[in-house]
Amino acid sequence: MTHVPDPFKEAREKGPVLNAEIQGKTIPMILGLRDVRKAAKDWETYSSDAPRRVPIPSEEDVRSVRQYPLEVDPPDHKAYRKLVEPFFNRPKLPEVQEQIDTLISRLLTAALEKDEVEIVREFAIPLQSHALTYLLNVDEKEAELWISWGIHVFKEGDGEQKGSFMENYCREMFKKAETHPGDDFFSALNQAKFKDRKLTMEERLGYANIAFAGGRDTIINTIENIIAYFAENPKALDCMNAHPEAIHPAAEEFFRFYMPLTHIGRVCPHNTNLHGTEVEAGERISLCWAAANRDPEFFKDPDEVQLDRKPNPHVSFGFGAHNCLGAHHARVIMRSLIRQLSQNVSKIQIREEVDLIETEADFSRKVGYELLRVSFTPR
Amino acid sequence: MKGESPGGSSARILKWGYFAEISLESVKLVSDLAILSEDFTNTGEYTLVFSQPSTLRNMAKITFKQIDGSSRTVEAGDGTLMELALDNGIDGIEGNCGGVCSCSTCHVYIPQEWMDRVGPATNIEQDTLEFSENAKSSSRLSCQIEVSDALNGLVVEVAPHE
Ligand code: HEM
Ligand code: FES
Repeated sequence: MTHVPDPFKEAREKGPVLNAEIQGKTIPMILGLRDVRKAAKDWETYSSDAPRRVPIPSEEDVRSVRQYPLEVDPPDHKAYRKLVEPFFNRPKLPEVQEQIDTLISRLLTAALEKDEVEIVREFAIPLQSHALTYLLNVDEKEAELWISWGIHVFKEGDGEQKGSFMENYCREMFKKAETHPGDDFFSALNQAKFKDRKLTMEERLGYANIAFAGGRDTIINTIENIIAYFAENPKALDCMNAHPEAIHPAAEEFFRFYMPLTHIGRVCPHNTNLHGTEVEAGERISLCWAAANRDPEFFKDPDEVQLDRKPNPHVSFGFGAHNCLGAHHARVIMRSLIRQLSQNVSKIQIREEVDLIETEADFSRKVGYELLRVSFTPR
Repeated sequence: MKGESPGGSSARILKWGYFAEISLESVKLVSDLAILSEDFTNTGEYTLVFSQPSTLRNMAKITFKQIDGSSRTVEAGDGTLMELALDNGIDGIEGNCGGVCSCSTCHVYIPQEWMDRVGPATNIEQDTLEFSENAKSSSRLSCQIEVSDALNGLVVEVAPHE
């Protein structure tokens, strides 16, 4: 079923905050769009200066480093962010967009030649991994190893072991780039200066960590959800084919509706009253992007996919200083995917599906698929 | 099926999913000319509102006053004012959030005499503008403004960056 219900509907009707039990603690989740946006801007009250504790659940067991620039507050945040911006802007270049088009075309052609394709392993993960090599400007061969890391580096299988494997891999990549510098992400970070000093290895690993972990399941799940949506709504494929100008708004609606990242944390440095809930200094709150994206005050019929929804002020890429650096990359991939699917595929049939569900004590939410076996019919 | 007389100015397809009962041919046939109204969801009926086919439409000319004082006049096709600016490399319009009303890097000022025709900002747009230091009563986010013939001759001023 591609029609993902909103697990926060009832809670949102009751009030602005859902007190959820997560990892044995109560985390107040902010649910409304306006409130989430306000809190995301107010870094003095809701801080990101919390190594390994910005994601919810926290990642203290699965990584040793602070992620940059995610886990830093302004004003330093700006300088940290600037160092990697040129890489995250690469998807704006026509030649990088062409690389992504070619990659998707290759994967889709292979998929059309087969009777059945398992989208997660044979399509989404390879697509995400290869596309990331273009963003980081590294040899495309590196993708082969990354593919073996699965849907989520930390959450799938033995996260602790995989997390440290990934850190070691990145450490090696920085060392290699030290002896053979190039135009790649690792070399650039080796040379980068933060306030007139070089970055420490810790910091460099922190940048690499989020590039690999943060941009992974989000992209993979979105690809799966888009393919499953078109499988269940074949006319939408025809319409996208007839109306390529509708691809951009459609991509935004997929980002809104299937938001793969339910929420993210902030730490309150001071005792804070959050709409009546007392938060003690040092404790966390959640900005619930997924709930904000279904706020009926701003989205008419929020539980419906409306591919031409306008305005569509979703917060799938966050809001404020930390807004997603990978958004350009994500958009280029999804727009190309929608365009190429609509041009080359007339029908998608689901043969077997296993949902990937995120479960906490107070809510559970479908974010993607563990397995999605489909057949494509060429147009 | 209900028909409405020609004259509507926008051609927009609502709710892709509801084409189920119409053959693809007819969708293609009407797609340039028609909107399927939301009635279709409730009543199963749909309304055709004819617009001018895009080829017959006069292209609106829109002028951007850039931050350095220079002006650029460009011809508008479909889409939003922000997309128009990006397509034409207008200085100072970045459209970082992709047009979802959350970054303010497409902030413009609309001359008083055009405010009525351009229309007011929605609540969420006003909220976004509130975070912007350079917001004035004439502020709009250009990603929330659809280009149309009605805007022919509009001159907008690109707002300075924060
Ligand atoms: C559909 C895909 C994606 C979604 C939904 C998504 C979502 C988000 C969100 C909500 C934030 C804000 C976090 C906060 O406020 O604390 C964020 C930040 C970030 N994302 Fe993404 N992301 C996606 C893809 C990517 C990709 C592909 C990459 C990298 C390759 C990436 C890298 C980052 C980085 C580095 C930040 C931190 C920015 C900062 O702190 O200034 N993201 N993302
Ligand atoms: S493009 Fe971001 S607010 Fe308009």
